[in-house]
Amino acid sequence: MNRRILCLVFPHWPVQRLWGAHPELRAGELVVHRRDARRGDIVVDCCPRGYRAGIRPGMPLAEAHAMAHHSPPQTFSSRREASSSRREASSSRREVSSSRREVVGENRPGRRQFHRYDPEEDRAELQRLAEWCQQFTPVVGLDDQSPPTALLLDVTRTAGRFGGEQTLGAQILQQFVTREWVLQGGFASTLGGAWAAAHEAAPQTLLSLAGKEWEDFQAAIPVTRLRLDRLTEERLSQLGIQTFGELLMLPRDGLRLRLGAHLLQRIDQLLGRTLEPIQAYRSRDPLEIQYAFEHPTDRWEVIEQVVRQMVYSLVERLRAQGMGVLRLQWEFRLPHGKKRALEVSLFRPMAQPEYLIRLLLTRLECHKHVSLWEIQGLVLRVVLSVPLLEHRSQSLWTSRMDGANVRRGEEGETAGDLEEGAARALAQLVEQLSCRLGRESVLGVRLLADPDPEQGYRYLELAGGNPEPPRSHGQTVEKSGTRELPLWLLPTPLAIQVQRDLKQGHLLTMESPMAAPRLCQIHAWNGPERIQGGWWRGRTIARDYYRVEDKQGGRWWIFRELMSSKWFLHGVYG
Amino acid sequence: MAGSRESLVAGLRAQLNGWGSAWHPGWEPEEVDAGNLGVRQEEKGEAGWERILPRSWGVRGGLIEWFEARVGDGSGSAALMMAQQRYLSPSSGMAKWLVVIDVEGAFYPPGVVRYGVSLRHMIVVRVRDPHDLVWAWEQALRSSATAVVWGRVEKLTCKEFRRLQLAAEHGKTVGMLVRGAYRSRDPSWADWGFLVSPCLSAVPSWGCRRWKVQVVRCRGGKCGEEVILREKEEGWHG
Repeated sequence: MNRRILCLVFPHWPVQRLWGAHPELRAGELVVHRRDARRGDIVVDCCPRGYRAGIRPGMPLAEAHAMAHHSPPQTFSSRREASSSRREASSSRREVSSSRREVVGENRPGRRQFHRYDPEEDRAELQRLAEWCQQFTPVVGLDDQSPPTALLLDVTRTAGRFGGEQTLGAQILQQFVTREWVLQGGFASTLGGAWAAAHEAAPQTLLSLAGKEWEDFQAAIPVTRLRLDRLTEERLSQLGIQTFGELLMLPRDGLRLRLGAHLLQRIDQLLGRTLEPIQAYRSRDPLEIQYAFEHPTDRWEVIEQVVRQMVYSLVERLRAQGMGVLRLQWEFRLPHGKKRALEVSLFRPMAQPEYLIRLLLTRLECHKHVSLWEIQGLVLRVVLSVPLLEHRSQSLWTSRMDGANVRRGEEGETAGDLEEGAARALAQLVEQLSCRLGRESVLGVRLLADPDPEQGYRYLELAGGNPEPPRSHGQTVEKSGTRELPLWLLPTPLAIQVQRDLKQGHLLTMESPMAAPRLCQIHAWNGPERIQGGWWRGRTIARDYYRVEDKQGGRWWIFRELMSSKWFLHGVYG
Repeated sequence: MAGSRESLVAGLRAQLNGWGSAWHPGWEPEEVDAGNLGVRQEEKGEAGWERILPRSWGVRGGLIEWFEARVGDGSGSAALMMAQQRYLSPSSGMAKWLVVIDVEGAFYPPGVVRYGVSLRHMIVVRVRDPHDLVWAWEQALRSSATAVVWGRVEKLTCKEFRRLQLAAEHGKTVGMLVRGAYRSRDPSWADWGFLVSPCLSAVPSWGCRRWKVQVVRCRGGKCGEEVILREKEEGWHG
């Protein structure tokens, strides 16, 4: 499946964030400024009215003050910065304290208002929007710019659930516009492409191009939309390179030599030659509930009762936020400051207290020596939660099951009932197994396009929130072709002795501790299949693989290491 | 009263005889000498399977044992091939999740692709503690989301075997247990037992693999039937 990334850019983000926090600021001109060590106070950003009045980013704040054509400006600053602001501002300024970091003064519509730049609060607000966007896809992240001003959504597997890319885009746009956010966005198959498309789109629109249109657009992308550093952009400008198409015509070796490998990396990322994962944002503040016993206890009926109350209370808080739990941690506080923690992982977001209690108690039963614990306190902590939108999440999680894979049901059951029932059964199976065996023991599989047999696939933990393919350097593939590969692979290749006909190169005998008899005649063989690579991982392999069949009919996968000429048994055809 | 009791016992005995002696504990399989058994003509496609395992079997769930004399003889592959053709294909009308129970940590997922198994509908359960093995099998068999549970199982007590059989019937799933041939004499609750032995080509050359699959345990059927399986590029064909 082709990757689809949606990038959402919020132009003039510091201004928009302040507008969101203080809607009354929309009435006047808003200028955001910061303290520069060398140049003093300078303008960071301003609203469109300020632009029309001639204010520009990078302008000294004093100049922006001088351009004020009304009464002395209102300045809004935090308490910690008030003393420095006081030196520059007029004596008529007032400070108004507030619980928020920004302190908003008297609202005077139509006046120019100045506000301190707060990148931390800007980032925090963007993270809140990222959390909100997780209703559309579980993989939402911030762009890698400093400071970030865009959201990145991996909609590869979720767009279909909303009726397609266009419908999803329209829905997202409408919801943001309703909340008075100004944004522009773009869909593309790569993160770099989506970022460029979003920055080139008109305000309140989403750019979604395909085929020839996308190729034309890609060639015309300005080099300033490649997420390059300012120095590289300036050098490209000096060379007369304006667009991505012009950049592609230059030799790669020359670019690497003159402008560095970073430029090539950006080119490869935009073209999709290099996988660029989205660093999905997860809330750092875990939702947790604590309980302390007056005296240490080992009475499990008491502990169970307390846990029951804690889970109900936690679920109530989760439901209030519209969230479902994916990973839940249960921490036991023991005497002498010792702690023990158990974790329960779920296949799909859950906010049903009784089910969670059952899983927690099952997890507890599997833990040895638990009856010996003298428990002083309990902590129940949500490690990972995602928005719980009943219908949407169900359809999202049931997307792994198509309509045909459901048992024929009883009369009166609809296909939807059956599908939901099968999805629930699958979730319960994964959760029960994970609960007892551990999250790392219940796995899905993705094949990777890697010649190294040990690296040709990747296991995915099914419980605890990891629905997407793994972030890896390799590209996932659907099939490994018709290569005859063994069913069993030894974790460590086993050294064996192989006798060859030196003249013709035929394999004659194989002596292996796994084979019976130990020394067996080789009946037929197939090979060699040379596999070389892995130097980029620091573990170079150079092997000639053979498939051999012994006189008893057993088939083995063996290889000869090219460096040492030693033979190893690697796999068994079961 | 005495007559009704005798008739009840007689009825039960008749039922037992009807099911064959293979399914209940204490059964001893016939002595099998593969060399003396005449291999029948190769049968392709479903017909080969149909002769040793009726298509109707498996709807209500059950267990199949796949025995191999040596590691690598091919019982695992034959089991996977049957699982794919009978119970995992979309046309089978069943939940198509395959659960692989990997107790040795040696299962190699790319190796199953050529049998047509979809990795997107496969769950690998890695069991490190042998005490959890039977529990994991039972959970997977009991789930209605599962179609087939496949894996290597050696030691099973009679009670554990019975647990697995009941779980399979409850979940209407098929359990494919790959075992060493020396286990074929153990008490069993499996409905079917197949002994898989490789057939070598007369001329030493690399080519499609052929196996003889022989029924050594059968509930309600006759032991001794065999079929030749032949591998094609896209997988195994009976």
